[in-house]
Amino acid sequence: MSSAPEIIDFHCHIASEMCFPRSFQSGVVDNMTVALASQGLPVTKEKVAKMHAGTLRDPLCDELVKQMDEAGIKESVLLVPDFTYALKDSTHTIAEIIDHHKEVVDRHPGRFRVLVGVDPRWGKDGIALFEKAIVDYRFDGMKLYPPCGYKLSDDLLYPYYEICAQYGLPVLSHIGATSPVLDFEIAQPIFVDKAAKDFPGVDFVLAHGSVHYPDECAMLCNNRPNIYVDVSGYEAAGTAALNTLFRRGINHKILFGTDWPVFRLQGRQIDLVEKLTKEGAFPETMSDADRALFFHKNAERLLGKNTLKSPPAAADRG
Amino acid sequence: MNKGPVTDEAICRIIGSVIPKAAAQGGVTPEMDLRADLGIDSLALMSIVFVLEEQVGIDAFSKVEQFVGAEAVSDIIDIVRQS
Ligand SMILES: [Zn+2]
Repeated sequence: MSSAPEIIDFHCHIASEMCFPRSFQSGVVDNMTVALASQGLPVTKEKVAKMHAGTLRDPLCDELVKQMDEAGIKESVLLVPDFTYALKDSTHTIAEIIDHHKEVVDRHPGRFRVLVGVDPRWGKDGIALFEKAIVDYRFDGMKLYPPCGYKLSDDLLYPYYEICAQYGLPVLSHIGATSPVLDFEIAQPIFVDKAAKDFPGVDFVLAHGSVHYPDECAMLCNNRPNIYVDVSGYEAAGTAALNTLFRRGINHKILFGTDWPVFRLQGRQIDLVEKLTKEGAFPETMSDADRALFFHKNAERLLGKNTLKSPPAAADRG
Repeated sequence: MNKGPVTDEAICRIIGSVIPKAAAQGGVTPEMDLRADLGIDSLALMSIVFVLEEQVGIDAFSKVEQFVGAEAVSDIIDIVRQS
């Protein structure tokens, strides 16, 4: 599968410290340090932090594009979570981070889509910023991060969902636990339900749906036509959960995603793609057509509804 | 900082000591792929770096980016040699 130049990676981030506040990274490093120290290794948090920071050095995505080519990934969707409202040690404003994503998109024509996040508590300024990113920058949808302190069906998000409905844009949300400096309980998949019911024309993607709350995510995919999951996180959680997910009758709802650069120490993008086949992620009952849905066609369908853009060329090829 | 020459075999042994038992069973050799052959994940790679630093005495953490890009056991050996 890795030789086919048509994969869409629906879950990536720009590998740059500007996108992840220091406190966010510090929480991630705390978890790694606990795990390494438990093995009796001579670990200090500073050293783990240095290693972690080493994965966040590809601010213009030149290395990512190289690895996409090698892995047969045609396009990657860059997600922009807005941590800047919840975590006050961000080095850049969300407006600056959004502008940086525009620079990366322009640098690598045709290789990146962007789902842009704005914390709904920024008020009218936030809505204007989001609309600018969609209309002027032609970004592709919305990224939400409930662990920052809001629920997916919060009234504050409805103006954003109106914009997504107007232009045919998907909304992707982080689901479940994350850096321990943020809240976990508020990031449960069921909180998407009211929004998904109120906006039947907007597609909602639950990120990490094969790893976090997989039963709830699959239930929502089965019963709401506009709810999807991405599988990012399988790299750590193992491919057995994916094999189960692919047997739940929702292969038209499952999107491939790697979460670059989170698993960079685990291998190149091609390793992460090949791991799926090697480690038995695909059940024998899964058809080639289902694999095509998973690797690109579901993504093409979601991204192809954007009324501000012509549909992606690959969708025409069928 | 370097405690003296370290053999390829010694580096392979260090790598073998931190990876899953099943993968290490046949022994670790320089041409092996860190992920495909040895199943090394993020924490295992960090473990290798920590143990190399302690046992070989290299300043592994000034080479973080090289370790991030390491593909094979031989790449790890090269990084240690350059230290
Ligand atoms: Zn992510």
